[in-house]
Amino acid sequence: MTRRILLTIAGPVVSVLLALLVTTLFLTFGGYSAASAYEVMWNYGIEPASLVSALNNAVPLYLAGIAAAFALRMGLFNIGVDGQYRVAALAGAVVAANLPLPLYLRLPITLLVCCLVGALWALVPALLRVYRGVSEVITSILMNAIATTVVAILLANVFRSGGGQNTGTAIIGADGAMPALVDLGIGNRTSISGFLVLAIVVGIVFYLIQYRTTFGFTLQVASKSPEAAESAGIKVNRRIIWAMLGSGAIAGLVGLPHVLGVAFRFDGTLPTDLMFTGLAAALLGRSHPIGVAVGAFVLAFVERSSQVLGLVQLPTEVGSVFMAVILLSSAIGYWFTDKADRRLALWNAIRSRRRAGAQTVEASS
Amino acid sequence: MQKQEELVRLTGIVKRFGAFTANDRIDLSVKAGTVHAIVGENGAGKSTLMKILAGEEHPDEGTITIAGEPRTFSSPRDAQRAGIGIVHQHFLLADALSVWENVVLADEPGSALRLDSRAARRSVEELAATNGFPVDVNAVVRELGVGGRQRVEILKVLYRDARIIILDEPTAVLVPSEAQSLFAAMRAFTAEGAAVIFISHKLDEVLDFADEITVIRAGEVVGHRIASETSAAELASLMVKVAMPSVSPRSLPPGDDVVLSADNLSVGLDGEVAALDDVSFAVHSGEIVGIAGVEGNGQSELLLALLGRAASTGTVSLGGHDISALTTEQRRARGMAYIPEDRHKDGLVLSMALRENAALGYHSRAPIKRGPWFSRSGAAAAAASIIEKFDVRGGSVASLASSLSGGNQQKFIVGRELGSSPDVLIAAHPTRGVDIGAQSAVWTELTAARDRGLGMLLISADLDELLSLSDRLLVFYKGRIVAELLPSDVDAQELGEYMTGVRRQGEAAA
Repeated sequence: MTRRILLTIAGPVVSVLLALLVTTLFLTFGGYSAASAYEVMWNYGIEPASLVSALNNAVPLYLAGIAAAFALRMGLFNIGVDGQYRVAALAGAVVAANLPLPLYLRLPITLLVCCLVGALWALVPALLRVYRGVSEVITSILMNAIATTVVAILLANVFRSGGGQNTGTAIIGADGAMPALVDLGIGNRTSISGFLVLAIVVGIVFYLIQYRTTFGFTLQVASKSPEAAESAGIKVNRRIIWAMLGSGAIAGLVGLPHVLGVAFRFDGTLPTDLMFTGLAAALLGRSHPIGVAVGAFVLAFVERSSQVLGLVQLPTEVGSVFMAVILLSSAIGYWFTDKADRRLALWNAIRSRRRAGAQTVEASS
Repeated sequence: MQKQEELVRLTGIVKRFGAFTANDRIDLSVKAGTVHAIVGENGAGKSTLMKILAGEEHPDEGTITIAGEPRTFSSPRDAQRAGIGIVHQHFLLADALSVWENVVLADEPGSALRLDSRAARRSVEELAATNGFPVDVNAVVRELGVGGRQRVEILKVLYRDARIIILDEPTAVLVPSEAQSLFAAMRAFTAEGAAVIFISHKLDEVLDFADEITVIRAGEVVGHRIASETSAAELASLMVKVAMPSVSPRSLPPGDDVVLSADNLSVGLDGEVAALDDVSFAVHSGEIVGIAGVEGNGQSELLLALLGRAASTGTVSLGGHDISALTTEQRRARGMAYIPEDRHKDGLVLSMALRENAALGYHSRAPIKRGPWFSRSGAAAAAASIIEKFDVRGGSVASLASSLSGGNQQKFIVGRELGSSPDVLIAAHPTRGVDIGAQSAVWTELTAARDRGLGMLLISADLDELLSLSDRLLVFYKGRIVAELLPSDVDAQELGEYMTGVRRQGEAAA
C-alpha cells in the first residue's frame, strides 16, 4: 500500500524536478541567475493575491484535466476538449445573458447547456471512431478547427451584441454570472470564484463514476482488454461513446469560469491554451481526481508567478518552458517510476527466492 | 529424375517460450525439387519451426544448414538473402497499396530516393506471367479476394528469388478450385529446382500433393514418411496421441430437458466460405456434449455465435427460449456461463486484481452491482469464495491476475463461471496448458456441476478430455458437423480420422 502511494507521488515529483532542471538550464545558458529568478517567482507566488489567482486559474485547468482524464480512463485521447469548450462557452454565454429566469435556475441551466453542447461536439469523433474506425485523435483535432470557424461565424453573424467595435456577445448581468464564493478582502482581487465549488463537485462525480460504479468498472475492463469486455457482455463500442460523451460534457464547462466570472460575455479574450495545460495536469495527476487537482494548482501557480519575471528584466517565457517540459516529462516521469518499480519488484523476488533457497539448503543439510 | 540435392537441413532445433517448449530437438531435411509437408495438430509447433527457418524466431539450440552451408539468421532479411520465403497463414499486405507496390515493398528498384515504378510494374507483370498467376498488378490489394491476396504473397516471395518457399496452411482460406491452382503452381516451382515446404493438417491434400511428409506432435518429430508409401490412417495415428482415457462412469443419466440448442446456425461473411455452416444440435440438462475437431474448423465461430459476440444466422435457444436477438449480457444473465478458449485474451484482465476479475461478466447483477455502485466488498467476497472453493493458489483477492500461474488462472475462471450456478456452460479447452493436478481438479468440478443438472458444451483439442467427459461427441470439419458419436464406441485414433476428414460417418475406415 505504501509502495503504491509512493509510486503515485514519485511520478509527478520526478516530472516537476525534470521540468525545474530544464528550466534552470534554459535560464543559465541565457545568462540569467536561475536561483534569483526562482526566488523572485516564489516570493511573488506566495502573496495572497497570487495564491487566490492561482486557485481561480487552476479551476478551468482542473476541469480540462478531468475532461481529458474521463476519456483517458477508457484509453481514449480526447484532444478535442479545446473545440468542445469553445463552442460550449459561446452557447453558455448566450444562455446566461438571455434566459429570463432568476439566477438559481439560470445558472444550472447554463451549466447543463454547456455540458450538452460539449458532449454533442465530442459525439462526432466518438461515432466516427465506432462506425468508421477513425482515430478519435485526428477527428477531434479536426473538430477543433471546425469549432474555430463555427464560433467565428456565429459570433459575427448571430450572437454579436451591438455594432461597431463590439466583438462579443451580450453582457451577462448579475442574474446570469457565477457569484463569488468568498471575498478574502486582503488586497486587490482576492475573491474566490464560485467555480471552485463546481470543480470540487465535478471531481467528486468523476471519482464516483469512474471508481465506484459498475459503469466505471466496465470502462476499465473495456480499455484494458476489449476482448475480455465483449465476452463479459460489455459492449466496447458503447463504452467508447459514453466515455467521449462524458469527457465532452465536462469539457463544456472549461470555458465558463472565464465567461461567467471574468469577461461576463463571450469574446476574443477567452483563453485558448486551457486544454493543453489541463492535459498536462491530467498527465501529472495520472488521471486521479486529487492528482489532477494538485497538478492544476502547480501549473496555475507557475503560470502566475512567472508573470513577475518581466518586472525584474527576466524572460517571462520561463513559465511556458516549465509547462512545456512538464507535459513531456510527465510521460517520462511515469516511464521512469514504472521501470524503477518493476526493477525493485524483481530484486525483491530474487532476494526472497534466494532466501527461500538458502533455507531449503539448510533444511536439507 | 533430377538429382535430389539437400536444400534445407535443420538439426536439433529447440525453441522454448518460457517454460513451454514449442520445438524439442527437431530434425528436418528438405530436398530440392520436392514438396515437403509438415503435418500436426494446432499447437504442435509447426508454425514456430517455420518462423525459425524464415528468420523470424531464433532457435535456442540447433543449427540451420541451407544448401550445405551453415547459417544463422538474425532477421527475416537474412533468411530472404539465403533464398527462403514464407507465405503466412494471415497475410501481411498493405491493403491500401496496389499489387505491384506490395510485391516490391522494401526491395524497390531504382535509387534510394526514387522508385522506378515503371521497372517495378514491368518486373512484377513478368513474374506473374511466367508463373501463370492471373493477377492485375495495378489492382488495389483491398479489392482482391482471399485467393488473389495469397497470390500476391507468393509473388512477394518469388520476387525475392526464393528457392525455398514456405506456405503456412495455404489452403485453410481457399475454396477447392483455388487450392487446386495453388498446388499446380507449387509443382511448377519444384520443377525448376525449388523446394516447397507446406504446413497443413488436411491429410487428403498432403497425401495428394506432397512428396515427403514430416509429422510433428507436441514439438517433436514423431514420424517421417514418403507420401506414396503411407496412408491417412497412419498419419492420423501419428498426429494424435493415442492413449485410452480413464473413464469414470457417471452415476446419473442425463436429463430430458433441452437447455441449449442451435438450429441452422451459420457464421460467415457473404462471398466467403462460411466458417460455421448450418449447424444444429441440442444439449440436455446434466449432459456434456463434446465438440471434436481440428482447430479452425468452426469451433471459435460457434463459441462467439452462442455467446452473442458474432453475427450469425439461425437460432440459438436457451432453456426453450429463442435468445438469438439477445446481447451477450442478457444471455449471461439468463444462465449462460462461458469458459473462453484463451484465458489471457478474453477470460481475465491480467492487469486487474482477482477481485475485479471475479466481477467480470457478473458486474450487472448482485452481489457485485448494488444500485449503480460497484460493490468492492461483494466482488472481494466472490473472489475469496472462488479462491477457497476451487483451491486457487498463489494469490489473494487483491493480487493481480497476472501473478497467478496458468493452472490457477484457469481454476479461477472455472470457479467464477460455475459459481453463478448457470444452466448452461460453454467450455472451451477448460484444461489447456494446465498441469495434471489442475486438470483433474477442473474435471472433478465440471462433472460435479453436470451431476447437479448443468448442461455443458465442451470444446477441446484434448481428445482424452473429450472422450472422458462427454456423453456425446459431435465432430466438426470445415464448419459442419460431420459425425455424431458415442465416446464408448470410438477411440482417439478413430476420432482423429473423423476430425481430419479421412473418415465420414457411415464409412468404414480407409
